[in-house]
Amino acid sequence: MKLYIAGPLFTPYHRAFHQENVKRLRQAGHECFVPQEQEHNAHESKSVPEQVFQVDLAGVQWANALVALLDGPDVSSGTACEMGIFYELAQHDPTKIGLLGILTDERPRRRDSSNVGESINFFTLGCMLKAGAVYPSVEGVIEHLARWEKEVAQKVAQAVAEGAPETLV
Amino acid sequence: MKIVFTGISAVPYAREYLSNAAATLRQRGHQVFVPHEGSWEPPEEPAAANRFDFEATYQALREADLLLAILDEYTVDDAVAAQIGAFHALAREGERPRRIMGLLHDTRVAGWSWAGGDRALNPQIRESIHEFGAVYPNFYAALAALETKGAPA
Repeated sequence: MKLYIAGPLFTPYHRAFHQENVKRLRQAGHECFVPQEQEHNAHESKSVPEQVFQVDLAGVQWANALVALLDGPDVSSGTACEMGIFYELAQHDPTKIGLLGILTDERPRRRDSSNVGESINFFTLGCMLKAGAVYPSVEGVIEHLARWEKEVAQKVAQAVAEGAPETLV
Repeated sequence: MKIVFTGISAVPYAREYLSNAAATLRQRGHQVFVPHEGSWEPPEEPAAANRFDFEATYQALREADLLLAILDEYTVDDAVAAQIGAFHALAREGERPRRIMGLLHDTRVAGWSWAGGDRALNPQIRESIHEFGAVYPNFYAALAALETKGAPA
C-alpha cells in the first residue's frame, strides 16, 4: 500500500522515530512518502512554504492511506492539515482507504480523564476515527494495514467474480 | 560535575534521546540525573518508562552544578520551564557557582540550520539561561562548550 507519513519532524528525536517506523512499514511491504526524506526538508534547505506545500500535497494525493504521528502538546498543525486534505480526497477517491494514527504521548493521555477521547482536539480525532484508528505504536498500524489490504483484495476478487474486468477494479 | 539533564519526557523517543546523551556525559566522567530516569544511576531500560519523582528531581537540582535543558516545542515544555526557574533561583540565591545550558533543536523555533538562534524563545526562559550560560543548537555543541569551559566559574 502507498502510505503518506505525517507528523512533526522538527527535532532529531522526531526524525529518528519516523525513520524507525518507516523502516518497519517498508519491511512490511509498503511504499512510503516521507516528508523528511524530501529535499525541501533537508537541512540547509532554502525552500519556501509554497514548495513544501506543493511537494507534500503531491505525496498526500499519491497515497492510499495516511499514517500520522499525533504526539505533542497538541497535534502538529501540518499533520492536522494533511489529515483534513486526505479525508476530503477520500470522499471522492475509492483508492484512498483511510487514516491511522500513532500516539505515544503521555500528555494527551493524562487529559483523557473519562476515557472518551477529549485528549486530542475532537475534530482532529474525529477525522482519524471516522476513517481509521489510533494505536500506541507502529505495530498496531501494520496489523491494521494488513486487514485493509485483505479487505481490498476480497472486494477486487468479488468484483471480478461478478464480471467486472480486472483492469477496472 | 553534577549535571541535571532535562527535556521532554512525555514520549519514548525523546526519553531515549535524553538517556543516550546522558550516557555520553556519564562516559566522560560526569554524574548525571535525568528526571524521567528518577535517579543519578540510570535504570536498566532508561527510556522504557517515565519514572519522574518530584522530590528526587528537586533534590537533584539542589545538588547539581549544571542544568542542561532541552528547550524544544513551540513553547518550552512546562516541566522543563519549572526546573529552569527553580535552578535559576538556586543559582542566584546560593553561594555555589552554577551554570545553565540550553539545547534548542526545534526548527519551528530556531529555523532550519539554526538561522533564528534562540531569539524566539520565551524571554523569561532565555534570560534565565543567559544569566548563567547559553543556548546551543545541539548536544555536541553544548558538550564542546562544557569541555572547553569546564566547571562553573
